[in-house]
Amino acid sequence: MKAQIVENRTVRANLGFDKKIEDAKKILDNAGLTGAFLKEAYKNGKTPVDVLREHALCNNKKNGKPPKKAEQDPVFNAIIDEWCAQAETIEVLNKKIKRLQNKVKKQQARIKELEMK
Amino acid sequence: MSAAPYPIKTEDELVFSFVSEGPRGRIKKVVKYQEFSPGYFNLAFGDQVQNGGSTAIDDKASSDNGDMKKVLATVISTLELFFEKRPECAVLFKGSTPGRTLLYHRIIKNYRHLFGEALYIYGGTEEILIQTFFPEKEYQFFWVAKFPLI
Repeated sequence: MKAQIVENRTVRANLGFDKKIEDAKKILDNAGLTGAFLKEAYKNGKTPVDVLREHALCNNKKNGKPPKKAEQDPVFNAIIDEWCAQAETIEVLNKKIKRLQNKVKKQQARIKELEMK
Repeated sequence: MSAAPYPIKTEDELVFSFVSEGPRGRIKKVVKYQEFSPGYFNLAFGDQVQNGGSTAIDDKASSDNGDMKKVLATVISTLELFFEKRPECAVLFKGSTPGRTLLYHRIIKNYRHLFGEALYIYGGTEEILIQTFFPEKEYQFFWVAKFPLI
């Protein structure tokens, strides 16, 4: 059963990454940065940073419109905030636990030492 | 960087791994840079899963191992290693689902300081490919670069 779960996860993972590569290519294509365009830019000695910078300079001005405001979904936002806060709390507690475990170890060592005497 | 990163194992120039340690145990994480166009890389991140002899990354896994900040600090360290060899390249990353992209947005918003001054992070949408990152704005993907893009 466990093996089957791992296998499913692998299939899901592989499918997800092929799609991601395609999505990433589409993102550039949709912005006019097609494979041919990028090849030409590369031939002309332009690095990806140069290309993206030029693209931002031309298109962000041309486009002019401000980026979309985030959709305010208070429930989702609250869940994510809580999740982040919980992750922080768990991290803090883990550190505390480690510190206390170290203290206990030290005390146990001290007890042993005293018992030996 | 306020959170110390985990020790990183370099599998090859574009693949890094580390072990997350927390209440849920030791979980092997992989960060992979996949070149989707010359000089443009997709950042893939997730749990390493085994299938017989081969391995893959599960980017939909939710480990909840209580070490998010440390994991993020480690991913940022891999970005620094990546850009050491490829300073002129650009890295794009996107959540595996819209919800996860929103989660990444929230994590960047909260822990942006971890990126330090060595890396530049931008947001992107279908309409505008690269935008200055504003915490209150919505993005569909993110860019990281060693040099400013805007």
